[in-house]
Amino acid sequence: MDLSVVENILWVGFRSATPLLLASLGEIYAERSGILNLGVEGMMIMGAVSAFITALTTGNPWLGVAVATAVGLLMSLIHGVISIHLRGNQVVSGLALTMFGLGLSSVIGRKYVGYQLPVKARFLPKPLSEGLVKLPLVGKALFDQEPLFYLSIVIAVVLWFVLYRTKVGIVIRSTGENPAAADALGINVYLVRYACTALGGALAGMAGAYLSVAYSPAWIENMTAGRGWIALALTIFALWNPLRAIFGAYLFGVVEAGGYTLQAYGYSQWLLNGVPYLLTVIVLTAGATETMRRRMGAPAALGVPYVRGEK
Amino acid sequence: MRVIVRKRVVVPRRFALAVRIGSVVLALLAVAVIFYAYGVNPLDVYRSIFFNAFGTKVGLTETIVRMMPLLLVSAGLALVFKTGFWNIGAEGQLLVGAMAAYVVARTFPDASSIALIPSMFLVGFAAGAAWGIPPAVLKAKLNVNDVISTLMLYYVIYWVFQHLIHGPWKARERVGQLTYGGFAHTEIISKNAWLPVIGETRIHWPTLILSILAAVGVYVFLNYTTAGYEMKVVGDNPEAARAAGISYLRTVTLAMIISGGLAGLAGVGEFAGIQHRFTPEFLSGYGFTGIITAWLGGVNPIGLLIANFLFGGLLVGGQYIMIDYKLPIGVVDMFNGAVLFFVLAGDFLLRYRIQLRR
Repeated sequence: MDLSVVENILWVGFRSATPLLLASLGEIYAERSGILNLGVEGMMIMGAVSAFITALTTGNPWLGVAVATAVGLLMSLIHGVISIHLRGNQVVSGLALTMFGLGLSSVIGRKYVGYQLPVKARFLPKPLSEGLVKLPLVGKALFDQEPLFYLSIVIAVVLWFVLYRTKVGIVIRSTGENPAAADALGINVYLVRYACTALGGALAGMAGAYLSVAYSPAWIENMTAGRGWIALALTIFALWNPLRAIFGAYLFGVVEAGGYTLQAYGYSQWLLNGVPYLLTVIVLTAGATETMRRRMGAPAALGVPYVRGEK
Repeated sequence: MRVIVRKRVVVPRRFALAVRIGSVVLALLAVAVIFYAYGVNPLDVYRSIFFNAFGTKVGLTETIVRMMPLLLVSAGLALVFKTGFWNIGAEGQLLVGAMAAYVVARTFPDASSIALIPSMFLVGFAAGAAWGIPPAVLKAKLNVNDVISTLMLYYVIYWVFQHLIHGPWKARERVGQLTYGGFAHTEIISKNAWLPVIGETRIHWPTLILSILAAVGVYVFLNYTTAGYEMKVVGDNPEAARAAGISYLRTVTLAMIISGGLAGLAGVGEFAGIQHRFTPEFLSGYGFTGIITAWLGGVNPIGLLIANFLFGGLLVGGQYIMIDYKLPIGVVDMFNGAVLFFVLAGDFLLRYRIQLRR
């Protein structure tokens, strides 16, 4: 393998990392506020199909992203109402959201299977500057990307800043750690949880848009292929920290891309397809020892409905 | 006017039943709106599902054919859910069970049915259980998230399976030729390994018996054995369980052995009773639909039987509407999701009493 192969693995890897990063950033906020949303896959696929149809009919990829973000947000509110106001089981509700999204997207996208987006309706990788792209190894990976790639990094940094350096961040974290105490301090627990769940849905929708208007600009049923679940694993791996999520997403992306490259060297494409999922389990296991050593865990009230005055 | 929400102390049986039925009806209405928007008449669709699933003799027997694997999967899942452990990867455990049955049938093609069939079920149970154990141990020892690990292991075994049927296990006449588009399949196993069926139907009765035994068995196990009692304690109050000296590791691992094993049996039945060879489309989602029926039915033989019969019927009817109305296979998922939403929402009424006060 020469350097250009490695360069290409990094480039493809960073591309495939973008949807993972966006979706796990959203889930980090939802979980920080105490809401476990296992419906990422469903929101992502709905984002993908709505972005694709919008971009195809209007020819505008940004409009596709906007619609996908809105659709993801609306989907997440179903989970929000069930988890927050109706105090339902968040695991079951999230699974339901995933099933519902996968099913509904296949119904909506039925007429569009096999269509490709025309070039003008896609996001295409474009060098930021000719000089930077020539940097060895990482030049292409960092500076020859589509807009959503850069946007996802900006979002990650902003979300990190808000979570750790602002009062809003303290409000969110305390809602996820101890909602009763937050409530006593006058924080509107329900409002915070709805807002964070909605942000999670919006970013999952945007992640889906990336898949269908940039990464592989076509509509394919189940095209998320478990990425929503990998994003959920990333959330844990990142210890609910947006900056660590960047690192984790690129790690996953590069391993996935490395797999595709190895196909060319005669390794079984089927087995390589399974590698990211196995890696998820291994990474979570390896991460778990660190989590335990540093006594860092999930937000204490994650998945627990909050009812004022009820233990 | 104020809305007051109070916890219910007792839930009247009739009220509970009415809420459940009401939830499903509302889900039907919600999905009807989607069908209508899609451009098909929802009444026609529902009539077609109901008639094709329950209205004909073939439909009814096919519904039972679908009910059997669902019953096996969901009986195990209902049990493991009691411990608070979320096994989302039953589809993978089912697949491992089926693969084990294939290995047994291929290794001993000339063995008699009397020897082969029980061995396939035994090995299938063991294989499904083995695939279910690692997530339990990882959760107990390192607190690795159960939802993620069980589901990821499904994807892992799915791709291993695809690798095997596209390569090492591919039927001989295809070897030496790169084939694209549906030629990847294994050879058909010898007739000795085929499960016997009832008359002209596709109901492979050994699986039917096992599935009913499983539904009754988990109920008896949970309510009449010490190990079952410990599972309830672990699920209801993990701290109390630890204080009482109940091992979380042992309890959850045992639950996953049963859950994975029963899913494995479902795989054996589906393979040796219906398909007799592997194609890339071997799986049909029983492991995922079983999550819903397990949750709806609970550890209760009657509840499981009703839930799985209905969802089995939905799968059968769903096939017809895919052909008749050109709807994608995902319609069934969409329906499943909608039912869950409304049942979750309805549960609120069961747990809380809502009063309006001036």
